[in-house]
Amino acid sequence: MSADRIWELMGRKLSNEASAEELQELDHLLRVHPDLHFSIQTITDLWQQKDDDESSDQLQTAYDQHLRRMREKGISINKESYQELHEPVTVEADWDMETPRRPRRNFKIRAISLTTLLLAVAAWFVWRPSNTGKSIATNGVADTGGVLPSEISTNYGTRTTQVLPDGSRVWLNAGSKLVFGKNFGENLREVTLTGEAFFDVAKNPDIPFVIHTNTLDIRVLGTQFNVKSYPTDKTTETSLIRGSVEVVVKKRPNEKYVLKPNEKLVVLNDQESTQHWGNGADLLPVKENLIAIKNLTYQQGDTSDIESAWVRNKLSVKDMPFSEMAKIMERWYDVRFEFRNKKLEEVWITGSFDNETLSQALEALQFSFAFNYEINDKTVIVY
Amino acid sequence: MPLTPSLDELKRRIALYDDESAYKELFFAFHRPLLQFSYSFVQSYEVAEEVVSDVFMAIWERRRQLEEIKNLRVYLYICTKNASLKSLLKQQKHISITLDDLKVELESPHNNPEQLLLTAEMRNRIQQAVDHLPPRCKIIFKLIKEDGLKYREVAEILNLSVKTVDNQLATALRKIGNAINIDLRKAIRF
Repeated sequence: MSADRIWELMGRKLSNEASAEELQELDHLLRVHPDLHFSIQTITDLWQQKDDDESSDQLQTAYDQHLRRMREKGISINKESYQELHEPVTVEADWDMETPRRPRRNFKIRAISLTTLLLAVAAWFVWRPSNTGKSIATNGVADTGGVLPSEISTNYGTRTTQVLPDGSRVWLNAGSKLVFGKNFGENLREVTLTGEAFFDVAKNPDIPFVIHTNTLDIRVLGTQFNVKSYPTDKTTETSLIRGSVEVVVKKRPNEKYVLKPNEKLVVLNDQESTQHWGNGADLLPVKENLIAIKNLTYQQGDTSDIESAWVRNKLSVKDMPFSEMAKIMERWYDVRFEFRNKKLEEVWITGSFDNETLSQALEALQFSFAFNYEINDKTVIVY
Repeated sequence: MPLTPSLDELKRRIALYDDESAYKELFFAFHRPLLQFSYSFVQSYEVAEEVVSDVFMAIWERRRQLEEIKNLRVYLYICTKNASLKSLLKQQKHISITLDDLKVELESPHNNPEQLLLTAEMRNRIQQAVDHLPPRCKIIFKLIKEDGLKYREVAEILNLSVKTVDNQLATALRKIGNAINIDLRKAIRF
């Protein structure tokens, strides 16, 4: 029936699928069917009418929400995930730093300011046979399960490990202190931590293990997890490897956070600095920014998480600005960093070191992006 | 809907340079059509938002392989379809779903009524005719008219033959056209 054919051809015409012959055929058929002219015309008008586009505000909201979900799932698209939690947004012009030394096809290596793309500068280094004897500095603390000292501590540049009387084991990162509570192990296994430690807590449901830090208390039964609570850092992080822990943030004693394996709780230490976030309407409310549960971070091609990499003698970071990385290196190597070029502080770094010396590490970083450094005694000047 | 060459360009920028602004552009271009497409399956905008977000997440995570995808537009729709079906399965709402189970929402054809010189009754009729299109017919109509997809793209996305797409669109137009015609005859009679 020719009317049916008309609709078929109309469909093709409207969707730009019709051939020249088909358009001709349609013209011809329409001449035979004047009764259809009005409806054909109306449908054509309707078809061509464009809907109001979704406003860009709505799209932006949807996009922000999408980025938030990505962050929650531990997928980083840019440094925003890190930066939004840590500091107010500042926008600066891009500046490209092509590196002549490490050309990689299809990859532009750039230094990045806060709002542009993040290109993880992958720094792959030769894996050396580890000389374990050297790697964990014992710092005068014997690795025995014997008499418990009242505290163990490490200076910058050293790390230590200790087996506690209850069979739990603690690794203490550089510049950290662990104080044991009186009567440790009687009714409670209570410790106070400053700095960073990895705990492998022996299971004993009757005697809970409690860790106090400046900002939070962690209660565990038996589990493996990392606590990072350096007074100089912007956040306190509790990262759970296995088991389960319960965290109470001191400023909000009524809320309990129960972590599942592979999650970490990030708490902002300095409440003042959160004030800045109120400015951007599309940012999360301040309260949500203060405490966040995230997934642990993994380097591509590595099955171990970054949070506890230091226990395995690896200095490992992902999507971290050089300024933050410098803080870790300061503790790791017992040095001070001085940035003469502020732009460098905002270069984002992903990579890991195994047993590199300070100058090896700095040289390796130079492969990834251009900068100069000088080491004067215990100060590293970066420019 | 971006033109194909610019879509390829976006694809390249994301795959090779981790270009977030290209990723955002892609999101902006496809968010609404994919959201509505997903809604046809999951019938909840909340769930559809999650589905679309998951699809875009996967795009970012697999961005290195993006260049292997020939038609990113079709790929996005197919991912959205699969993710929507998976979400339904998870909610155990449906063991299986066919195109005839879809609940398709079309943009109102009368967003700018002043552009079309139609009586209120005529508008009503058209609206009703569109509303009453069978789901299969309606989704094809929507994907072609509103999302600007080609016949063969729709065929690939919905797993149909191009012939079926052709027929279904003709059916949709005929039904709407008939509604207009009936109204016209009525108008003449009075």
